[in-house]
Amino acid sequence: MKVAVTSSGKSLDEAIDPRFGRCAFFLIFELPDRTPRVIPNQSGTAMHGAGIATAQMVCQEGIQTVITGNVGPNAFQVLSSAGVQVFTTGPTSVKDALEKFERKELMPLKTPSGPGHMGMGGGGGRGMGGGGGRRRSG
Amino acid sequence: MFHYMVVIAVASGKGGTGKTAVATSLALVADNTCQILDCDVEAPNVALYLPFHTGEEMKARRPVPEIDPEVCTYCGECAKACQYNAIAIAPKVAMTFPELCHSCGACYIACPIPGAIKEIDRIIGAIRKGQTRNGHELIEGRINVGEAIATPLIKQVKEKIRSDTLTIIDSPPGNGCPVVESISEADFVFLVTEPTPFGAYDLSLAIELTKILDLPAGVIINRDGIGSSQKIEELCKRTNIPILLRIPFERKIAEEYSQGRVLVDIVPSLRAKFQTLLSDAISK
Repeated sequence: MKVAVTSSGKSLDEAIDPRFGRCAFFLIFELPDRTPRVIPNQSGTAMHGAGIATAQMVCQEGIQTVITGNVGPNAFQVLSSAGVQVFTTGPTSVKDALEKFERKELMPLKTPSGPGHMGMGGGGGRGMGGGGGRRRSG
Repeated sequence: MFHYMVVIAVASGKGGTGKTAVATSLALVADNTCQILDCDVEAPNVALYLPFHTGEEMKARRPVPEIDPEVCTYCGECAKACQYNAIAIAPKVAMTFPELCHSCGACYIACPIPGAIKEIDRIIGAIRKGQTRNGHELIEGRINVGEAIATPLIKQVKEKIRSDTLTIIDSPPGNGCPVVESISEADFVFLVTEPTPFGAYDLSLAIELTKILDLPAGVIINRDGIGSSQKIEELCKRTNIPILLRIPFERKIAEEYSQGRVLVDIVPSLRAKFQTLLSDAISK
């Protein structure tokens, strides 16, 4: 079974990246083998639609299962249409998430776990001031 | 005095500084009736101050792709061509995300299979066009809730610009694509700010934008007195942009403005100042 875990680093001991579309790396496993193949997420810095592009990459890689923190509605739509199962977990290491998954302690998501734009981060305010300012994007 | 093809835009960087207060005041001091374009399509509010007396509403549409799953071979060329990630192609899955689409048409060109992608119209909002009680023509764009991309609607509002009259554009806040679309063909841009660190910072971005677009601009400081305007003064000096007007911070203005009165009606002494601003901007 081909499993992808969103990760903040390149090894099993790293923390999982709670963001799906904007995760730093994917660690891909052919379970039960625990040797990861590392794929940097090329779509992580996309201006728009990072979740969609990342989900497309996951589908094209032939991955059947994703373990992450949060998945937005667009990415979830692509993944579920392609039959990819998504499991979510709280903050933990990749290794621990994988073990929980193998012990069947993680439940597959039926709906998106977040409202989207979760991984956009703060501090990127484009022309956004305080007070009466309204958020705008290009 | 009669004006030909003069377009004046009111922008700000920071939101809530008083763009609409300035735009509606400029309209009320114009010698002749003029056109007002509310390009702040995510939150149009000119009509709160200059209500429609007569008017008609048109739906605003733009083309987006629709993929025919019977014809599509899932080659992925369209998704590769899309710069906005508005298409996802996976084995046996073809999905479009119209709210992310910029209607650029690259997917139709990239698709090697005739008939796999067709163009469908998506309703993105409405354009209302009519006359205000004072005889001005008001054109308001109003985007549907949930639509992410405002520029196509702003473009359609701007298509209504007439060449035989003065046009005043109330621009959206910020410095992104919707603002660029709103002000890019203006003959002069008023930048409205307030004496706060946020006002000064966002003004610096707005000034930079007018420099990049090569547009003449001047600054109006609203709520003068709520904080130090030193940063704004230094910025304007450094960038060679004049400070044209200071609107005092007064409770009376805030109260009456919140009831839908136009600034120059609340403070009649500002009328002459706005007249000078407008005629100077037109002659530039």
